[in-house]
Amino acid sequence: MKPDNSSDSELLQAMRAGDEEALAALYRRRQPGICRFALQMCGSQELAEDITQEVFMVLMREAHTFDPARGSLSAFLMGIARHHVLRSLQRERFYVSMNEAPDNGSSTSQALMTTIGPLDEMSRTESIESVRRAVLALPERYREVVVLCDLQEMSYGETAEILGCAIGTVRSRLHRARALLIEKLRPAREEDAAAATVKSTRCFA
Amino acid sequence: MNCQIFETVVNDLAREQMMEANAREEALAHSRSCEACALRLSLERRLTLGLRALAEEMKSVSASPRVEEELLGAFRTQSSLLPQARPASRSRYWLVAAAAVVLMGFGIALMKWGLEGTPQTAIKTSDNTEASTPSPVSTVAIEHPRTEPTSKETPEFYRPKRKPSVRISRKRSSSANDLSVARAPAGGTNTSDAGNSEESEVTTQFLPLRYASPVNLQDGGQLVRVELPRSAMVSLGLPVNMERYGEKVKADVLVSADGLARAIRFVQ
Repeated sequence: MKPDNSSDSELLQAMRAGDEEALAALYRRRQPGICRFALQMCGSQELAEDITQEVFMVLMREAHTFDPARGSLSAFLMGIARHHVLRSLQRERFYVSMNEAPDNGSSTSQALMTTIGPLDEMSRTESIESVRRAVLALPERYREVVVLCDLQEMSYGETAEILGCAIGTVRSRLHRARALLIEKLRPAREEDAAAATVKSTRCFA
Repeated sequence: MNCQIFETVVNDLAREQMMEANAREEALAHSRSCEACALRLSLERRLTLGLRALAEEMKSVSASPRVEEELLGAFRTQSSLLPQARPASRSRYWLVAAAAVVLMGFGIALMKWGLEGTPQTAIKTSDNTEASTPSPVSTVAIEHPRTEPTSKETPEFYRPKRKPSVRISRKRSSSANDLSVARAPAGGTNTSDAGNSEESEVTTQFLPLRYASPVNLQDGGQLVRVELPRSAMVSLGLPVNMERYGEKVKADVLVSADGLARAIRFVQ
């Protein structure tokens, strides 16, 4: 059996039979999405890697609990990842980060104003950073739909499968989440525009 | 289309999701005519661009090779344990099941054996010597004496020390009228006291008493050691040495659970 051409189910069966190559192939195929999801949800590369590892450890231990009739393996793994992410976030709530300022959008614009260098590239980077921060600042129930639908580009159906809720719930949560994101990003954009005006005025002065 | 309906489709419109062509055209037409909805659509589109840029930037994110190494290491460890652990647990299961079956079989056999009685008669004598008689004659299991005799017919012969309680299930092979004498072999004698092991008794078969109705001996009973005049043997049709006619002879009377003497055997 060629691991690269095999389906997830075939790889899973081979893995259960003790085929290490099958696990490696399955891991290489599915880990980027899981790691990205974890990173987008919790914002820590280290935590994301831990969660990714834990997801596959769970798969190794409890592969028999996967039922193809109930959904794809990808959704199954993502569901495990979500469970671990939420648990990690709950744990993290007890700790307060000392090096991260509270997210209010204005910090981004301030950074923009004081940054020296290629403006376009920097503004794009800062814009992405502000979006990332805004996403991380969302409540978890809204964050996960944004991550799955917009960042992971999953369909409403797939997202509903992972979250274990109805498609309508996903749609309404996404609607609310995007509205919150716009609220969070608007001041930054307005200040961005103001800063850009000031900068151009100074340049041409 | 009004603003309220526009609000329901603005996400799909901004995210360029599949939607009905008519609805899409109507929403776009509404946004052209409504300034607020146009701004709303614009903000949504900018957000979509921002999110896509973020997704694009994070596309290269993946776990470090360390994670894969650790995972495969754990898998190897688990795989090396599996062939030992799983069959062991299965074999343990079957072992327990087999043990249960054996125990059940043993229990059933024990019950049957208890009902049928021992293959030999073991009589505990007054001096605590058990005399064993080989089996073809009867299947009588005698326990230690505990109960008092209930028969009124043998009170004068009652000897408490020699009265073992008897539990008889059923006769196995020979009839009650069989007069063959069973002699307990010396080697087959079960003794608790080595000094009395030489004592052995010769007994006749149990002879049913004529007046007694057929008895169900499975109900149990008692064996009562008595001494009778030899004339009693005559009444049962046994030959008597006339020279010793006046002497007494030992006998075991089988008293059933209802208190009636059912059978007798003579002991030498």
